[in-house]
Amino acid sequence: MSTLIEQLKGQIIQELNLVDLQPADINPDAPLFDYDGLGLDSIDALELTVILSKYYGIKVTDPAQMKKAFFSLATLAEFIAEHQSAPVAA
Amino acid sequence: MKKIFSMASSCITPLGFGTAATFQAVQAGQSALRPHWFDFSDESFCAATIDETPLTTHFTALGYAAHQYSKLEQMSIMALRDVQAQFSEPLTGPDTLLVYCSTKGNIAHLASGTEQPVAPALYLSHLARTVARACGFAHTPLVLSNACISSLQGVLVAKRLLSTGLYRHVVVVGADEVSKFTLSGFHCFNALSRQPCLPFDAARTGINLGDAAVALVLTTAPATSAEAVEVVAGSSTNDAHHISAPSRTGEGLYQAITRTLRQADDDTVDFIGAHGTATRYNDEMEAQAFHRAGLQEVPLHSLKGYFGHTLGAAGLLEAVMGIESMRHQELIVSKGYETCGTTLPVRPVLQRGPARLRRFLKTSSGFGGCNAAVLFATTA
Amino acid sequence: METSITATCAIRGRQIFLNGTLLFEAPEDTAADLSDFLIAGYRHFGVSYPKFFKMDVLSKLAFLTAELLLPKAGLQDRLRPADIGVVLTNRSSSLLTDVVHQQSIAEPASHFPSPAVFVYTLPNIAIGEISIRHQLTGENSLFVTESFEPAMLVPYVSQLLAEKSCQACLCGWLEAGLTGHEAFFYLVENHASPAPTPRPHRVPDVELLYSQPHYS
Repeated sequence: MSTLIEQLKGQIIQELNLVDLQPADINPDAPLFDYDGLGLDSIDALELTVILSKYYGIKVTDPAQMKKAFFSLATLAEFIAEHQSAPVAA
Repeated sequence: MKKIFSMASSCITPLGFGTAATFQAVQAGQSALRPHWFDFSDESFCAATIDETPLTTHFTALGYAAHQYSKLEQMSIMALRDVQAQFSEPLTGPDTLLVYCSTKGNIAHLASGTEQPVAPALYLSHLARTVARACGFAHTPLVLSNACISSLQGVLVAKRLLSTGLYRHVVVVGADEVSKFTLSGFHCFNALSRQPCLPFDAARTGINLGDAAVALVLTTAPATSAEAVEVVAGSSTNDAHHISAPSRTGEGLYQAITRTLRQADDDTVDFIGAHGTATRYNDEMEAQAFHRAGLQEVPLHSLKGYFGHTLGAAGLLEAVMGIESMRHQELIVSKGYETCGTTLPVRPVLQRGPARLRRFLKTSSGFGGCNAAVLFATTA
Repeated sequence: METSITATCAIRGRQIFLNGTLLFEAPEDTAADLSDFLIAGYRHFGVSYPKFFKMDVLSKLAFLTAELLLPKAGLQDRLRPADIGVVLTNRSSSLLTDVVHQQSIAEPASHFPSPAVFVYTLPNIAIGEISIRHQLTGENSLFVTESFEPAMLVPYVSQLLAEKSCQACLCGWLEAGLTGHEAFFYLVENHASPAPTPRPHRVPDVELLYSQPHYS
């Protein structure tokens, strides 16, 4: 799980253009969509669905499912671990 | 300030070539939305597209070589030639300006030319000049590209340019077409509905896209016809909130509406032509704004259930249909609405029928946080 | 009513000018890429706005130009946000970002369009970004013209001010295309201006300010 979290940190920083952020700056348990956390917005949420589809082959469209999975980096990693059937080229 | 009148119009849509044909189809309850398949999804999505065969036949009959013009150019030229034929003056002289409004123009050309990724026709000003030249306009056209409020704002821009006295007539065109470019974009926003869209309804799931080119002649020349409609007032605003999400409170749209009504001597509104895209957030935002403006009891319609969302053309298409509604003194049904789906209820029209309609408020909102409102009134 | 131009800001090549004075010139090696150059400018002026990095190049260009012009002009101290309009003109619309989106959808097998890219495939998003940053809620529009055309822009903006649709307007040229980039913004105000050397808002004056970056 910790490898997955580290990998996600890199993907999120790159794909969401969080230029001034280092992987170590991201607390896996901090809320992603909160100004105390990463302060992501609705477009970033959609970008996270692209990351899931592109790197992990997981399609997510149900808003309730998204809300739960995208709470923090840790919940996102759990969600991926649960739903990933076969690894896709990362 | 000078009074500005709208005189002649043309709508080139999947429901008809010309304003009368299109309005008739709408009042007959027809929808142009059909399932279409695209290579990025196994599922079909509803869209409202114009078939190329009847389009090209009609276009060729006007004396043009169809292969020299893109689909969007053909649609735009047909709309313009139609209003030129209706108007008492040729509309090609130095006293006439063409304002061409589009979000993506010939964006489909970007897909086809890999060896030459920037065909000149991709530039909106090139597209507008091609259309203007084909219709004999003397002036270089002015191009407006302001997301989904483009052509409604085109009416506002026309009103201002006519007020300067630089022109006697301004012809506003709104034109956009369905493309894989825009479809795939809205798809990644989870904003596309597979089924015909349901504006303001509880079961709405998103938008459908559509093709349309619309032309409207605005003039300062005194209205000779009793059917002339005055462009009374209008305003555009920015939410200054988010580049894609509508304001939760409807603040920007509310401001555009109140500023418009403040400019008018009489703030009565007989019906509203809403934007009504059928996304969860847009319709909710509009309901908030109409309530704040005290317009919650005013009958309203969204026309997206007939034409889909025609992006930059939508504002003008819906304005022209609203003007026809006033001319025929007949309300248009807000197709796709059954059950209230907004926190604050609004009054979508459920039944076609005669009504006294003299003042019509058209509103639009778009990406980039922009909103526009225009008030039209009959002069009779 | 007399309207006057109270401030200008231009970004040309790898240079940034405010009110006709060169403020920043990027070293050649950071200026090859437009985004890198704009980020260098952002860092040079000590701007802090993390969303800047998420913007496409057209919005970055607009943001940086407005960022240097607006706070210095002190407009917000004198006017309500609803009374400040934005009218920009451009040639290539959002072409550079259109190409990026198109690349992401060209192959059905690798179809991964990005919402954060697609949203920038409209040129007026740049106006949205400026509006969010400076809380401008007034009239706003984006015209597409072949080149910077004061003869079109000046009468339109004068009319906006004359009919009191706004009290001040951020206007100008915002271009990022395949052949290069250029931003030239200027502020037009209705009331007696506090600027030390206001210029009349007329076509020849705008043409002069545009053609001479070092006018001060």
